[in-house]
Amino acid sequence: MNAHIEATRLHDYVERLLGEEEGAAVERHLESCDHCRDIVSELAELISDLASLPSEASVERDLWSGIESRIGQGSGPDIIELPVGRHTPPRRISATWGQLLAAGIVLATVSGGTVWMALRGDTAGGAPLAQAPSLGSAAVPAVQVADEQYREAITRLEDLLDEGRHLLLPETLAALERSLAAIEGAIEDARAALDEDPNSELLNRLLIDHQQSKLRVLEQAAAAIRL
Amino acid sequence: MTGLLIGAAMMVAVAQTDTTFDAGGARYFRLGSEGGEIRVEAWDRDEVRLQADHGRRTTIEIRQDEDEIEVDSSGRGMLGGIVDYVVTLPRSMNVELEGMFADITVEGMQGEVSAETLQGDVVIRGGNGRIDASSMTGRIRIEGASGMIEFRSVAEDVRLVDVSGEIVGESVGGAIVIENAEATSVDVGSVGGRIDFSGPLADGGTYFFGTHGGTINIDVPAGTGAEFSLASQHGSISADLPGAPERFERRRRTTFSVGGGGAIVEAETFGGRIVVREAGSGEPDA
Repeated sequence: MNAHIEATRLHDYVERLLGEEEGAAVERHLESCDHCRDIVSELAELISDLASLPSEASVERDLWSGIESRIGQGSGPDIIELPVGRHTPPRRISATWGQLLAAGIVLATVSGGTVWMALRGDTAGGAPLAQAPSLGSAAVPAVQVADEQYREAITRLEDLLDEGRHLLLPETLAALERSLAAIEGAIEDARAALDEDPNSELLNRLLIDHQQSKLRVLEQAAAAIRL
Repeated sequence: MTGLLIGAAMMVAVAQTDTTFDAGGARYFRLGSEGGEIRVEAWDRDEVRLQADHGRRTTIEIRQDEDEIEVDSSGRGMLGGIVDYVVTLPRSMNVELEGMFADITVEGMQGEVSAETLQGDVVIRGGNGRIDASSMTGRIRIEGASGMIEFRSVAEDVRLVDVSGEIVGESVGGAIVIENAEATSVDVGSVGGRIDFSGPLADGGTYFFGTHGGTINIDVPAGTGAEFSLASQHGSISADLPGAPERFERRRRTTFSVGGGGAIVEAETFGGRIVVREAGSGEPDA
């Protein structure tokens, strides 16, 4: 028997997925374990936050209409419309602790992701490709808003990484820092180029793409710290 | 666990564990490990053989319910210690493996495979359906898998060989090499590494490749029909295909169609090179 209950089982407990006997055993453990009780409390809070979100489709639709009005209709002369973007199909298993941790920043990133999809020529809510507007210069404010949202989410995860860096092996930490520095360099390159060419579809797209990469790496780091 | 435990947990406290038991038709196998090697092999029996080398203070725990078999290790304190596993499973089982500092190899399975490790290499040969591979600091290699293939490496190279289906993934610092793929869609990106893709493009398929500083090599068979959309801010672009433009301007997206269209291919880079050409016309650019 571990000194603590593994996070995935605590997650199942919070979501009432355990059998009666196993659930009772978890409750007995929680009575005497502050550590596991704290995890259960955090998980319950995260799950509550997620439950308060509108459905993904409705979020995207609402945001899409706002973005659409700023972007305008019609295809640019040299932009090809693509039917799909990067996507994450639903996983078979329920969310792990790390995934839930990552999901905690969904509120901050969902609109940025939608802007990113707009940049990729993707459609929201499964609308036909032909109706997806291409990026015009009016999309740039939406990208800037997304950039700010990413910065906020990234800052929170960077704080978490700072607090937990001593929990990672030196070589893991070194690899993480190298990768984050590479992404940060790419972000700075894109921002500097955007200063000269703020309407560039390519640069705006690259900026959001790099922000997403950084966010994903930091999510992995946060999950590793929690392990 | 989402089901009732119907099998007694087996607790073994020896330095070597070697046990074979009835799989009972279970469709899912899960294993978590803090460190060591995880090797999964396939056979045509409805049985599971679990071999594990571990310290005497480590306990291997096997839980089994109607549809799932779960293996974990525990020791004094929180960590389960270093355990080297060799697990032989019914070929059709779906496999989910998680390790902190574990090298993971999965050979010959025909179901879904998920292999995630913090520090270690991941090798998957075979697999159908969802195939997930993730390592923060290790290399990833996937061969002969088909379905929805997803990978993520933070620091090292990723190589996919003879795979088919949908491919999604990224490596921040490493190269992404996709050889001889029969992909219906590709969406891959790297910040600093190069991307090599070779294989036929499906009619109606979509292919996206993005890097910040690395080279993108796209090798397609002669006679491929596709619409290309290529963009580079500071790098260079070349497309050695019949009907492709001879010159590309920086800071502009260039679109063109070859072979009557069919697939949609998009590649973009900030400072790297994009090279599109017919397969067999030379080694990829470094």
